[in-house]
Amino acid sequence: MNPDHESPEALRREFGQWRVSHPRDPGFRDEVWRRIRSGSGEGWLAYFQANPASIGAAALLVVLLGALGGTGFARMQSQADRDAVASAYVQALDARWMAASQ
Amino acid sequence: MKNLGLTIAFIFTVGAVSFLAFYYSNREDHLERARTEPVPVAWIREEFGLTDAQFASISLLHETYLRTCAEHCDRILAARAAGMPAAEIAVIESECVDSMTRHFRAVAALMPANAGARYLDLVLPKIASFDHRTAPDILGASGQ
Repeated sequence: MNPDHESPEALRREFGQWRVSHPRDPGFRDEVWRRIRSGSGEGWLAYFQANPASIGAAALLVVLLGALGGTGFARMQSQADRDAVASAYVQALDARWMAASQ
Repeated sequence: MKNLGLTIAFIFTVGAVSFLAFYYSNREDHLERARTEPVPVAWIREEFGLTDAQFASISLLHETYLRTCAEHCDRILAARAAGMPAAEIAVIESECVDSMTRHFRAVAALMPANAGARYLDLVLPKIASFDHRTAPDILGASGQ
């Protein structure tokens, strides 16, 4: 242990002379504001504006998936309806069905 | 974290709106309406894009055939009541099938060529799908 630091006075003097020499970051202020804007404190719109590409790409993807799913499901359901209606139509004109139901 | 949750909710909503918009724009409403009709005939008009004159002719044919169908039904019931052999009842049923097939072909002939072919593709397999064992159950289940 350094004997100079054994006295509190020497330690105080040492800390008094201590200077941190860190290079200045020119982007520090912008970075702080960017983080504030993207944080929860500034609301979702600011978050959206800070990440337009990723949110836009995800939205586009779900629009496409929704379109494919919606179209496919509607066609599948229409085909099932068409089949049921055609069956009912044929049965209404089929004497075998009429006789079987009596 | 809250914004991430809101973003996921936003994207989910966009996807749901897209799904519903495409679902309803691709639904064929005339089929859904036809499902509630006791004897669906009107669906033919929209399904096969018929003119008023074509549909009127087909409706007339349909009404006429309903009487023929009732006669066939009476014959089958009478044959069963008389205890006729199954082979003879099958002959009557076969006449019914031939008559029905002719009727469907006559209806198809009143339609534009492509529509007529599609109509036959849809209805003719239904004649063959009749099953004596399941017919009463299906009719009972559908409330007819």
